[in-house]
Amino acid sequence: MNERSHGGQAVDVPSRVRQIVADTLQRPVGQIPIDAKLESGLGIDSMAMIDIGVSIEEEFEIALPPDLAERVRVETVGDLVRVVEGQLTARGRN
Amino acid sequence: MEARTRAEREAMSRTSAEQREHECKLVAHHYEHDPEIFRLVLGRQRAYSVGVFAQPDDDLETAQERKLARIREKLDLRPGESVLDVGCGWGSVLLHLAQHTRANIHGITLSARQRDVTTAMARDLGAGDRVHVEVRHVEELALPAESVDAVVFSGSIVHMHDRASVHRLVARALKPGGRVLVSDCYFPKQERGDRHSEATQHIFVTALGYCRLLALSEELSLMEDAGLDVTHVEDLTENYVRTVDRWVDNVRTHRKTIDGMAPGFARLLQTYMTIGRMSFHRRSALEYMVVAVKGRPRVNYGAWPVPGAP
Repeated sequence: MNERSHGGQAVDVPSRVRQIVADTLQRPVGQIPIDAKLESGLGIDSMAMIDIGVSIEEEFEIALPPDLAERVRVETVGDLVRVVEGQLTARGRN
Repeated sequence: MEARTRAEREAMSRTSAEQREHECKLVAHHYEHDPEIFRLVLGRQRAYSVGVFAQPDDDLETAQERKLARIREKLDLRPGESVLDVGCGWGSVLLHLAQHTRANIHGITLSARQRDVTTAMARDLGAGDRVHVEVRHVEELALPAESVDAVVFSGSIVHMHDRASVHRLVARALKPGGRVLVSDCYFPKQERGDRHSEATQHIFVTALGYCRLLALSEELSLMEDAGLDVTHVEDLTENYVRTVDRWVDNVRTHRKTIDGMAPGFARLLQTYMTIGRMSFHRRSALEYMVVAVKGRPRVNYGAWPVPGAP
């Protein structure tokens, strides 16, 4: 089974990550551009980042690295998408 | 003492009786969830406190077994001695002591469900006659003076606001030579991290009802004020990071099962545990195990850690 599909549809990771960020911030998804900075642009604090991380784990059934909320490598929505895609690829190989 | 968190400030505005009632109600709430959830997340022993990892890749149950053995070594219970387990949870410490010593054990918890689980397991172990568990707030224990040989708080004292009273009543109840062991979370004395953040409020109040982290030196000072002598302190902070990593992995593995039993609870667990993990990793929260004695210690603490002991 293709792990990255739901009902035969390829998973659009960027849209779904943007939707999760939008839902967490209770803002329309149109206000969450892919290049938005999580902290300085969207004002995401550590609590919101943890909420987003848990939502991503639930949605994609993956495990995010524990230092995600420290945002060392994850500055933008796009960075977050790349982390998710990386984890999905790693899971697909197992 | 100044309030460090919103939860602490609110507690300080209550009377002692109001705060006791608050703890009885709100702390118990978390632990009244299905015990099966906690078995899935915490492992077979349902030890809801730090494990001790000899190797970074030790599994959770091995680390918890090592911690339980360490508590037993430190309490040094002889046959017929009595031990009080305050905040005994699902009995991880109490049942370990029942199996490995001939002591008489009194456990208290704020959760009727935890009392029932622990009582049934003690009976199954054939230790029903030496184990008594009841629902009671520690400040409402009417213990005769000099009636107990040892008292243990494993991951529980953090829920108790009035620590001065707790240490006074323990010191009074201990026999000469009696030991008290506290294993729990502390704030560093110098403020690190945001103690007024939503994340702190989530872990201390939303998830766990009521938590109060002191600085270690403040806890030790209150124990000394009560007349106890501190004999041993060890830092287990890094061990807590590893413990929580395993709990979170277990939440992931059993997310659907947990949500089937209590919708939203897997998320609450993962969220507060992730905050906690980050705090211990950054050392904006610390984990210590402390032993203190009333009067002359029976053990030569200078010889610790005991060679060959687990």
